[in-house]
Amino acid sequence: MSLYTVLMNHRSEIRVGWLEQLLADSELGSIGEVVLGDLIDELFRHIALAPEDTDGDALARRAISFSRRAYSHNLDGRQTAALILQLKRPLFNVLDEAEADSERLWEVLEFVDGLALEVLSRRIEYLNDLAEAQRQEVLQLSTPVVHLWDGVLLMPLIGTMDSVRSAAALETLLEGVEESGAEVAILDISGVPTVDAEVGRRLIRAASAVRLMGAEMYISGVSPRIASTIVTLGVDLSEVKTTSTLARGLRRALERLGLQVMRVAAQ
Amino acid sequence: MSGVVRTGGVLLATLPPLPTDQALRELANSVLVEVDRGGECRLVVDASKLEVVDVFFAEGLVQLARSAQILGCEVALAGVPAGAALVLSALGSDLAGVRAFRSVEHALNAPD
Repeated sequence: MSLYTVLMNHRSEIRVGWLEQLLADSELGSIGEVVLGDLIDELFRHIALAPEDTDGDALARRAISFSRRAYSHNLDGRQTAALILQLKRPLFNVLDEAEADSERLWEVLEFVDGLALEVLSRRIEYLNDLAEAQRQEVLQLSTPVVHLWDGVLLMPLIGTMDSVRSAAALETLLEGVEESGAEVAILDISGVPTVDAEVGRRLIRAASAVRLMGAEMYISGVSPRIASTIVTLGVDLSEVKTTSTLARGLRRALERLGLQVMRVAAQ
Repeated sequence: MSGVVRTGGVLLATLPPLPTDQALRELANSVLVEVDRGGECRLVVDASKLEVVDVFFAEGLVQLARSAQILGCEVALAGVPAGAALVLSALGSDLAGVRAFRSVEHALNAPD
């Protein structure tokens, strides 16, 4: 008899024993009989789809899809794995004396441990993908290029700048300058709490790149705190035009374009 | 497409998309020969087609600009694409004294 046959022939017995044990468990018991029963049924549904001669390890890989149901019931990875590991005793209980040779016990262990391990590794994979997707989203969110005036681009930076974020942002800004043929690009860092030496150097590099493209970059919104940090870090910003507020940056940009803002006499 | 063209008082040198060391050297030679021929000297280097930039290219470009400046030329760079500009500035290329313009058109129309 294969492990598959043992599982299918004794499934109601296993279900009762397993459920009893889970409900007695201090951590998993609170999940409730309905959800636990549903998860057990789901696992057996997946096992039933496997070919009869599948060995323990391969059976575990097939049964993994059941974990999706566990997550839809809001179980975390640890709970799902703990639930699987509790299957050992009810499974041992249904093995006949004769069946319970070391080979068979080994296969049962392989199946249960393998499934628990798969559950955890899939969960980690899923969380990693999620973290990566969110990181990408933040990168995109943080780098809008705004067309402020004919020939003037603005990129407002918000939040802490690390080297990855600042590199992505500055690249976007340079591409914006190239596409629009802008004459001035204003990088507003009002929303940036602090910068480190690496980010400071990147800002200088971006400014000189913008200069090579025939345009000019201003950094506006330099807070007193950032100003003193930059000085302390020994980053030389003398080649970059900086202004304290975005309004001053815009005024400078307009001056460069030969434009002037005037108050029109009240009607 | 690369080469040196004289239009009015301006020498226009066009950089190819993927300049090899050899190509850049040849371009520099023709530029310097033209400069040496005399007359007014304003050199505009059209970089708008540049795709790939490496440290050797950056060095070659700096040398070209310097030599032309030594011969009394005013040197301008035109239309450097974003990627190339970023690499050039990251390499710390010393292009001091070289004016940069958004395009060849801007460079030609710029006041002295």
